[in-house]
Amino acid sequence: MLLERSGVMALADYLSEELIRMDLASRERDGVIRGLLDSLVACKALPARLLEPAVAAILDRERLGSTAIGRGVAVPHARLEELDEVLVAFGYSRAGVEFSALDSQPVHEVFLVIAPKGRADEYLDLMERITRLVQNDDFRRFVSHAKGRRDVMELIKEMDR
Amino acid sequence: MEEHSVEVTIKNPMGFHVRPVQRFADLARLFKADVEVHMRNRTVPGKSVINLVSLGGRCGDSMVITARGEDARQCVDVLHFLADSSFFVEDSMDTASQPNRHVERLARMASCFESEIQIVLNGKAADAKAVEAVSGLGLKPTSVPRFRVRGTDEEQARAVLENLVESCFYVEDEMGRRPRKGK
Repeated sequence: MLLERSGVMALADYLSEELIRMDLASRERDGVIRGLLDSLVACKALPARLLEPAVAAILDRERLGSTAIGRGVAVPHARLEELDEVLVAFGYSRAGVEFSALDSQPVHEVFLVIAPKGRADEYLDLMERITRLVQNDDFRRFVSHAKGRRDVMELIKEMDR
Repeated sequence: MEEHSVEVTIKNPMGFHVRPVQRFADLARLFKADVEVHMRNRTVPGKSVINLVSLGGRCGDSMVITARGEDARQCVDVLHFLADSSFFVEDSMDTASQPNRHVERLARMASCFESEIQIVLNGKAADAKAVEAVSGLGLKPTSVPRFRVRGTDEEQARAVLENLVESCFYVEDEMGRRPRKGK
């Protein structure tokens, strides 16, 4: 899968419908992380040989502190030397996922990010976009009522500006 | 109401990303004072991870930390030390040359408080604000010492020091190897 990328990237530039999972099957953090990475592999965004290193890197990062950042949102992430570009996948869980959040609340929206080493500005831009988006109560409410991936993709295009 | 501020520069090559922000917000939450951070022409609550990450702070950006409340001075001192220490993010740190960093972190954090603080480990006690005295106890990043704290800000001092202990003094090689309290 090739994404059109130039200049400042919007969140929608990193995503496609295939990289959005509605009603995540797992209620466990590790299962959700693996499921979202599987989506990236299925889309050929992430080479299959990097799946296990990516799982390990993300779980290693979680060991340093949960990436549940409040309001039912988590941003599991890691950097991998071998990657060429920043990759994002989104998952929604109606039931909620146990993410060892500091506020002890289950996580419903998960933005998984893996990035090459360096690229600090792009990475910070992306995190800024994600956190601004999820601060919008309308976004989280609309996601919970979305009928499918297409709705979420449209929502992100519309609200991440 | 007491108000204190400090301006600091972000030294982390990857900026004010999720990990430094979490540590900042975790420590800020241990104080009664309201905390605000001003950076990149925006001001956000200093105890909210989402708000702080949304600032998108880069390496070299300066930020002003302001605390208002009865423990504002101690709060600003703790957060100032944290920021000056690259938020204890060890990615690009020469950790081999700082084997005693957990002791220094403990002593510097303890020094932010007016209370008298003793650290107790294996039946021996030492002044928690004195690096040499704490080193003499054989403190390791995974040690679980007790604290004797007496003074006007003892509640906050104890909370900050226990946060350090629970987090293995943010020595990242050791973090997460011991379950955090209440998890």
